[in-house]
Amino acid sequence: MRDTKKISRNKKTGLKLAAIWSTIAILFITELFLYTWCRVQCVKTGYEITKETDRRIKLSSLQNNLKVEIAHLKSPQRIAKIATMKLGLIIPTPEKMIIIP
Amino acid sequence: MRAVETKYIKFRITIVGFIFTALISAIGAKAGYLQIYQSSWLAKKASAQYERPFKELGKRGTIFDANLREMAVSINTTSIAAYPHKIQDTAATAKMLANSLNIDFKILQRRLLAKKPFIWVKRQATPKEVNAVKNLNLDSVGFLSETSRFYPQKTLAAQTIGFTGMDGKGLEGIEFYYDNQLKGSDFEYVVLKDALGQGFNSEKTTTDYSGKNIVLTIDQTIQYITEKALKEAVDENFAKSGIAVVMSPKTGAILSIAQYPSLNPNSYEKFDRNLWRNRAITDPFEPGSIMKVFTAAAAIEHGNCSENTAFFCENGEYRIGKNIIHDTHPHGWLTLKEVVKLSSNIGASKVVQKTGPESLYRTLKDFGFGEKTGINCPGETSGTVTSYKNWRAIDAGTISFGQGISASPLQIISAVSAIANDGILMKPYIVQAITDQQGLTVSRFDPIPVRQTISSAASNKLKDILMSVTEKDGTGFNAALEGYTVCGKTGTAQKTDETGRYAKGKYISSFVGFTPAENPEVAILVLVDEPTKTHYGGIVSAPAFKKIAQETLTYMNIQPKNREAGKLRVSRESGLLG
Repeated sequence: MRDTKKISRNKKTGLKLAAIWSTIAILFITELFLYTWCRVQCVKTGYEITKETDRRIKLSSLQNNLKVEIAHLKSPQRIAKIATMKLGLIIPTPEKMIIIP
Repeated sequence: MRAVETKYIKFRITIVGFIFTALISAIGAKAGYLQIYQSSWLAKKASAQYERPFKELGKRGTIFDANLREMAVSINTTSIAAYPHKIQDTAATAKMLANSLNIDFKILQRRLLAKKPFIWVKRQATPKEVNAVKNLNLDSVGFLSETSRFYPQKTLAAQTIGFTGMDGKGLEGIEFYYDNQLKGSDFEYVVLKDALGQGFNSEKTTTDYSGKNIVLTIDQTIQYITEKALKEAVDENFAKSGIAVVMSPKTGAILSIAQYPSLNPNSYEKFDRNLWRNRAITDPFEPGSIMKVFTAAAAIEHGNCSENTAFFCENGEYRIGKNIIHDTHPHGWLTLKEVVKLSSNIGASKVVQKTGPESLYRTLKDFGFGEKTGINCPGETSGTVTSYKNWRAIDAGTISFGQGISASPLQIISAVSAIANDGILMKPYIVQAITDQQGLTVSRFDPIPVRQTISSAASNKLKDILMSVTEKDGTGFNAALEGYTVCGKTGTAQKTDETGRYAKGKYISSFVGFTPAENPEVAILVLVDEPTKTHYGGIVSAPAFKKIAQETLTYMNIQPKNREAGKLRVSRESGLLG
């Protein structure tokens, strides 16, 4: 009778221990997955940052080139050439000048 | 049997326990050793496998004109390099590269055979050339990103802006003078790379390492007007070269500096080195009759003379010691005003005899001759004005009409601007601000008055005298404008040859003046070197002055004087009103 009780108590303790270890193992594995997921996300974001940085550099370079082109297109030599050669404009004489107030 | 198994089980467990404990302790000790004593070495070794350091130079700042239009910018370019030790067939590689880049095959092959780990194949290659070389798929060739300087306005204000060398260092002009402000700073950053060697997260800082921007006082449009008029004057008179400067007399701000022949700073190495420097600032010239303006200033300020004080001009020939001074046309009695108006050399000499050489010397020094103006440009000359104590009798006479003295075009225009500005000499300046990449002002250059050269009353008298020069019978009539009053003076100076004697037939023709006389907005100097058609300043340079002044005043919206007020009105919204 006493042995049966002892066996039953041992069984209960064994189950309790198994439950604790199982919980620890599940927590550990979950943490492992979480950590891996975080690392994957981190690397993925890193690639995206690099891609966007490259894109920013390219766009910035394009913007710079467009600025240069605008500066060239707005140059007084070019405008004067178009005004006189293509449009037939001339420099106004003082009597033809209208000063805008 | 079962008893034997149970008898040794505890012993065996203990043995296994000891073995495991010993092994774990050994691993722990090794881990501790590596972590504590070898950590920095190991970390360095690991980082070398996934980190790639990069070094870059911040972009050079932009040079803007007064209206913030780009005059010099930095653009991204790609340079092509080769690693000779990686090349297996040098001849074939050289041939392919030479064909793609249109460069000499033999020179390239010789360079590739040199025992160097790295050589430049082509610096700052065009996108087309880069693509052509990329298509060759050569492992021994690398592409390096660089920035290069580009001048979108090409020849406009070329000598003033200057240029940079291949490595982005300022070599001339503003590029040289403000190199420290314009150049970007070096910076290093680290890129992490994966197993395939691809970068996947850079630790590049967001700090801007670009250089500062420079804002000039030069106005692109006025610069263009000046360069165009100067070119026409030089070409029409078959002259060697020309210089023109436009200045705001009230502030000392330089609105334009033109030089012809010019150069294209995008390919400066193809031009003669003599064209590289800004001659308006670096080169001294004998000013010729322009100096009569300051002789008259000395007479009015220190010599108790008025514009009506009369001088006998000896009918065209006047002996001082062994030397004889001539006038272009013989004159009898002339007033001070007429001496300047008709540009009489003998009259000017007589003026100095009355006022004394010391007065003339002091006046010239007060107007800034013989010393640097302090403009923010490199290589400025101070010109030469010897002390009046060393002058012989003839020296005082010749200096009064601009011989035996030298000055830069900048000094001349600054001095004439002082007359326009009620006698106040302003320090000329060409850079008005330094800004950062966001456009915020880092430092600002405001107008600086240097000194009161002559009284305001004397300057008004001089303005009257100078206005008479552009009247119908004055030497500078060709500079007279429609609708605006002009004060000015012609100058025709004989050039000296290598021996120091005056060369026959070689002249510098000039005209300097300001307009409108009652409220001067611009002072202009035009100087034409060795015109061959004719050499009088009033014929060669005055028309160029007129063109520059007329177009500049129109551009600056300066109301012409003869316009009847209220007769013609325009509304910005609805156009012409009546």
